[in-house]
Amino acid sequence: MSICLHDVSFAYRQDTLVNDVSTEFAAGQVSIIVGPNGAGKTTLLKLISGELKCGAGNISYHGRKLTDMSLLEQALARAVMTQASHIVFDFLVKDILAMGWVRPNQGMMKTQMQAVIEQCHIADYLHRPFNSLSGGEQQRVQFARALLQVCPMAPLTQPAFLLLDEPTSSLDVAHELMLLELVQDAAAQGIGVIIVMHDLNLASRYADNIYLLCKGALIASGSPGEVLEGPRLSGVYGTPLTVEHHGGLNRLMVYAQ
Amino acid sequence: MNNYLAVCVLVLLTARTFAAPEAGSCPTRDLDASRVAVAGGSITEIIYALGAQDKIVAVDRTSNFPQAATRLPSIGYVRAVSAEGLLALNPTLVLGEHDMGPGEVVEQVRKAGLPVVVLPEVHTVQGIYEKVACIAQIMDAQANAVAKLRDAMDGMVHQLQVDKGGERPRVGILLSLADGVPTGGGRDTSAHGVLTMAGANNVFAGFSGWKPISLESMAESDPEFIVMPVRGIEAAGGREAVLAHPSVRLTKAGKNARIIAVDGMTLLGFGPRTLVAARDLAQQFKPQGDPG
Amino acid sequence: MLTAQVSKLWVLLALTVISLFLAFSVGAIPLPVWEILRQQATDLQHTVFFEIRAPRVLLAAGVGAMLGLSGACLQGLFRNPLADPTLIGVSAGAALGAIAMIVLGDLIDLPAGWAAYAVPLAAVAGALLVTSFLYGFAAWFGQFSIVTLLLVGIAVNALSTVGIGAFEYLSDDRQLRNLVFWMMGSFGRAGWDTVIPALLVMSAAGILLIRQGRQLDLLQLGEAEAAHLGINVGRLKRVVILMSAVAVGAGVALSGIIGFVGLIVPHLVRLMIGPLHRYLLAGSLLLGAGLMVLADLLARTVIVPAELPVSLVTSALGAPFFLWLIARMRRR
Repeated sequence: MSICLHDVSFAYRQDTLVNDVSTEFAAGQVSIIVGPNGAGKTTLLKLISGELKCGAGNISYHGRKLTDMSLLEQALARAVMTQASHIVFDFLVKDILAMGWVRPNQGMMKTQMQAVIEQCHIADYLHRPFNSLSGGEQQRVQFARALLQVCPMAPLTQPAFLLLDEPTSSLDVAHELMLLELVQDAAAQGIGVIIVMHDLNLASRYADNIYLLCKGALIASGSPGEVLEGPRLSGVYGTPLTVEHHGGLNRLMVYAQ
Repeated sequence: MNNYLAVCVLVLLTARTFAAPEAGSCPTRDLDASRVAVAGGSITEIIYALGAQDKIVAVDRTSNFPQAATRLPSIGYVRAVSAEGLLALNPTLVLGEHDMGPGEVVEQVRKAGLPVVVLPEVHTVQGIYEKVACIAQIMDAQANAVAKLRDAMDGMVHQLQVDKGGERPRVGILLSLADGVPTGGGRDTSAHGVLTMAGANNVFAGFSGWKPISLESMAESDPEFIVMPVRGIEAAGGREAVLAHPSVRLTKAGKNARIIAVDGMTLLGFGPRTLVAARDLAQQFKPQGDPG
Repeated sequence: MLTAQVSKLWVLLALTVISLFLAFSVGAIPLPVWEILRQQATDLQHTVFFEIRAPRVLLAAGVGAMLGLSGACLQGLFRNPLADPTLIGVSAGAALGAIAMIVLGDLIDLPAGWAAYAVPLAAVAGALLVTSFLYGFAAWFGQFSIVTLLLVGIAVNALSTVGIGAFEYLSDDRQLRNLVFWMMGSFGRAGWDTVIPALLVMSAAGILLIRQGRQLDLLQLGEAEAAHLGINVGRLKRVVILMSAVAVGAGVALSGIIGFVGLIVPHLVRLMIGPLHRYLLAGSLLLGAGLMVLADLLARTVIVPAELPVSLVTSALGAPFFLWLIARMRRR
């Protein structure tokens, strides 16, 4: 029950953006991709979502090649939340949310929507125009929309994936944590979550598995403890970094020296 | 019979779309001219001159002579008449000039059973006589009214012949200076016809129709006189503005301030008044200071 | 289930039907529709109704419906509330195509029966050229801002005017008279022989466009986001561009350029039933038809027995609306 990458490479013109990556992302876990700017994190996420086609190698969801899946099958297998793009027309929040419903079965929509609304705490502004919300509220609605697309439903077929590209980049600390709590809830429901993120400390706190990318190559992957090592990070980021275990919080913290 | 059918089908096919009505010859069949809608200033002018104006129910916007005609109901611009508007006046006949349109509307009106006659347009003295004769016949005008109009026209034509002679001046007729570009009348236009009548050479005879004329070709054609409708001069900002216009300034006409203002419909309508306008032009073309 | 939006669509349908009824009955010649249907009218009334009034009203309804619908679709596709077929130059492109065919068609000597269809086809081709160019241009720059699209529209309109000017120079007097009509807009020339094929083409384009409603909704999230939701974005773009061009081109070929309907109709419908394209498209089709029929009714009754160009009426209504719209967007 996972997404498998086999020797995946992708080049744009002369530049190799993703270089021979083979790895696996498990369902029901939070996987966080980290790495310095230009490491190819977003490109890798776009390859996983199918937005970009692999130059070499292949990607499969639960053993089925992405390239063999129809657009609708892909939409049922994974939802994507990008850095929010501006929406021109005055849609209501509930309209935006309903756009996440891609399944043909309209009858089930109401109950599932209600569940997602409660889970994401967006009931208060359901009937407001989306454009009147704050950045944090908009982000939460977009997350709810992505969640509705892949929320597990009986009869459960296969767990789906949620791909998030820097979901907290425009949020303050409180909203950042709120969103990542929602992510953990989703993973607890069996959804596989893959996040591209800059903040190593947040990654350390929320990730089940961390994937460290540098110059398109996968340097290391595994639990935070396996990946977050001071010398390795210093090399990858090109600046001296220290990793310490914080006793009170019981997790690894990354500091610049 | 088969040939006749074939011709009918062909005519139907070609007339179907986007075609202006072709001006034919003067119709010989009997037409009920008791209530006539007119599309064309010269026709209105002639009907008034023939004293048959009581039969007119409406005119188009180019019918501005005589003054009384402007008080009749208007069917709009001669090239953009309305089918229902025409029919609503309940006329027995529509008389139109060659540029009446659009063609589809003329077809619609005919389909509704209202005869539409489009008069032939020939830009010569002979053409004006034929137009008058045709309208007189259709309107069933009084013989003495026809004779009186014809006499008046004969008189003007005689003066035209007298006024001609000597060297033919080189003249250009400009419709307007819209957007700074003069629009000149070439071959096959009413402008060409009226200049020929007045014994002048059209400097724009090198092309056909009304065309915008570049600065350089204005200088090259170098007219001795420029004739412009009053409204065109007004729109360009008055006589001084026309004289100062770069396309006019470099010509002989511009240097000698020989801009002749005329009423547009009088000059180009090709009714009897055009004969008067041509005569007046011929007199103005004569060398200045010449006593004759 | 009758949602609020669907019941408002029924209201729009009722308004459109009333407009049609008014337009059929009122005019220079009053036509009592019931008497005509019961064959109790005079011959003249009968002829005027079936040969002049009916094709004209139906053409106005069809053109209005297509301008409203394609305006809504293009605004959705470009994600730009000012994407109006006339403002961005699609109508001018269609006019250029039609004019080119009128002038050049005489030179290549088309068989007489073909000419009737060559001009609308050329209009569609012209509209298609402009729409694809605009979309290609927009894609090249990422996405147009609202103002950029208008600026590019000005340039495209200017280019079309240049082309039209060139053909004016090439044309003879008879052709020139026809050309003038493309710039003014009028339904006065409607006849069954051209209206029926146009309405058939418009219906086909209209059905295809209306079916893109949900996909256009998802497109508002962004192109990549729509693709993630299972939309074939490339196909959606092709369908909307092609069918909008067909819808606008078929109308322009018969009635000339008529401005502002494609702009104001979708906005009015959005104010009424919200921005969801699922309802917006059908609403714009209905309101476009109703509004155009009424505009034409005004155009042909205000100065009876003459008539105004219908584009004068739509611009008189649309231009102030356009200013209001810009003021409203500035305030945001």
